[in-house]
Amino acid sequence: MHIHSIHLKNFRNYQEQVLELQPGKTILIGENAQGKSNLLEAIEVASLGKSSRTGNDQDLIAWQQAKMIIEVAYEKGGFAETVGVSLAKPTAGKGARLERKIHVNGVAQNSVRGLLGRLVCVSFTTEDLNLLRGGPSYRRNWIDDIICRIRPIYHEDLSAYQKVVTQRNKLLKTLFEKGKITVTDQDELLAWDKQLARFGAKIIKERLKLLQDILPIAEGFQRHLSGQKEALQADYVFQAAKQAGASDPDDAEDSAESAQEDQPKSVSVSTLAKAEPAEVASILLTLLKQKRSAEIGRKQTLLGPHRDDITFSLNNAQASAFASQGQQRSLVLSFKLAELTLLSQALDEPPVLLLDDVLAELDLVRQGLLMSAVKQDLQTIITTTHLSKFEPEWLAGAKVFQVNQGQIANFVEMKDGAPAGSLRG
Amino acid sequence: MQFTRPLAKLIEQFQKFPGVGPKSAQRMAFHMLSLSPEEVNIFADTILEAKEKVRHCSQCFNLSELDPCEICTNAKRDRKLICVVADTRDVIALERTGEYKGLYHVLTGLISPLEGRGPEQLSVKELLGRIGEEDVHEIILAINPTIEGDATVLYLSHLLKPVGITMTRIAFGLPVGSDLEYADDVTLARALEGRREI
Repeated sequence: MHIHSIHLKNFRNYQEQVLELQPGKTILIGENAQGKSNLLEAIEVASLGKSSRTGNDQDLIAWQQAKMIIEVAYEKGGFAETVGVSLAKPTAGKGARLERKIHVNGVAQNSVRGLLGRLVCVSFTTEDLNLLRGGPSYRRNWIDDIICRIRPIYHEDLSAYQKVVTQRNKLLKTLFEKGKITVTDQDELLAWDKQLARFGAKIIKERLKLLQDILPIAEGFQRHLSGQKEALQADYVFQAAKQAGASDPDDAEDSAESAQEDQPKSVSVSTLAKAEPAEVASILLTLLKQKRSAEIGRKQTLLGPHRDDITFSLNNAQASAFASQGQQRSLVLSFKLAELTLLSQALDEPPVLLLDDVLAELDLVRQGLLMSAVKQDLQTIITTTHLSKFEPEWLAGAKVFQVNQGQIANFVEMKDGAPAGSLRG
Repeated sequence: MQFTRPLAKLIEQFQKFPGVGPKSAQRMAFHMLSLSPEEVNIFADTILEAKEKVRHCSQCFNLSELDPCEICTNAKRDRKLICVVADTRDVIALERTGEYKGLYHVLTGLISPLEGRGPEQLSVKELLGRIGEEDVHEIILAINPTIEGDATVLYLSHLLKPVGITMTRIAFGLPVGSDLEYADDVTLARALEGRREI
């Protein structure tokens, strides 16, 4: 899969920009805050219908403009396709919501789901260290986004689940305000518990399946990077408490019995993956029963896949707590490469790889591993502030563009004699 | 320049209807003005008459002029069967099939905390009363496969399980005569889930 061209209109700091790309490597060079990452963000929006950099779509529209447009033409499975996303500020009297339009091959789609699995990208940014160091939401979103690209219908499962949570939260709030809880209230809450458990179990099962697929691949990359075999395991953590302690998968069963108010129940992915959806649902139901009074007190659903976490461990030590900085960087790179491998397998061709300012942070061994993945027919778009940080191998055959104040132009050789001669090799 | 006060008020009234925006409301109001006084009187009387005479059947909560309604008093109906639906419109839809000969029970909505509707706002208590008093053998739940519909079904099944009555829910799947390839994937996934041995 590769992108032929990108057309941006009033997107972030781009007024009007058409960029033609070639199948191999493309390097976008520029100072900070010129629009390099914005371009990659536009590709991400065209791929997933949302940006990971902002939760507010309004930010995507250029300052004082009413409407932004992203159009991407690409080749998939030998056929030319296009996707388009536009966002318009509401005209007076039409509410406060942005008007979003999505087109695939010129055909209007009525939901983001129409985009999923079309233009498939894997992006690697400095933010990705959050996979280990950040909050649970980074890990949940990472996994959910991968599943959505492989099985777009999963998006439907997620939104059905979200609807259940919204309804249930409203009920909890009503019960809190009412003060006393009748048998009817309890029965109604139980009906919503069952809904939450049913849809929740579906989501958890999908996440477990993905983790089971991706962990061995990531373990392989990790072994390559560290030169030794390190067992990579993951635990699925029900109900994310603020500090999810290190958990030994072996005594997960024991801790289930004595699950305390703020102690998450964590089960190893390999164990839980064998469970039937009904078993996972019954785990959720049991936990919900324990949390009931706390949930009414806090007026919200405190557990379920929207709050769950996944902890990774290397050789039985929790990676976020015990792995060294270097190990963590290696592990994140391994995860991203495993994501790339998995999506390539699912699509039968490699997706587009977006590297946002990460190459400079990687040492030679890690750059080398990334290079070996990129060598195949994989379109890679790289942003950087300086070419000097690259291994020469990266520059060979690469097309270089200069990004300057929301404008992209062909790169012009620098004064200090940068390796411009080899650039268009 | 705005519409003269009585006309503006009429437009506002129409705009309160579901699915009617300002443009449609204007069109309706202008149409109303173009009618003869007799026609407008008939229209007004019809509205009042409908509002006065149509009420919930005290047994099944179907909307009807009669109480009990035509279906509840029909001697040919199988009184051992009760089909539970959310809305009177669902009764009409099922009646169109001509296949169902039992009685109905209209819940007058589905459980939806967001819209302030819980079991107490629905005719659940009355349904339990009917099951207790009459000789009912089966309850058929003909309720939409939505989040709220599923929650209502879960609630009712929990409530009715101790009664020991047969409870069924209508099947979900592909529209008859439709093409597999044109079915949307969510419907198709649900149809796969509900597959049957043949």
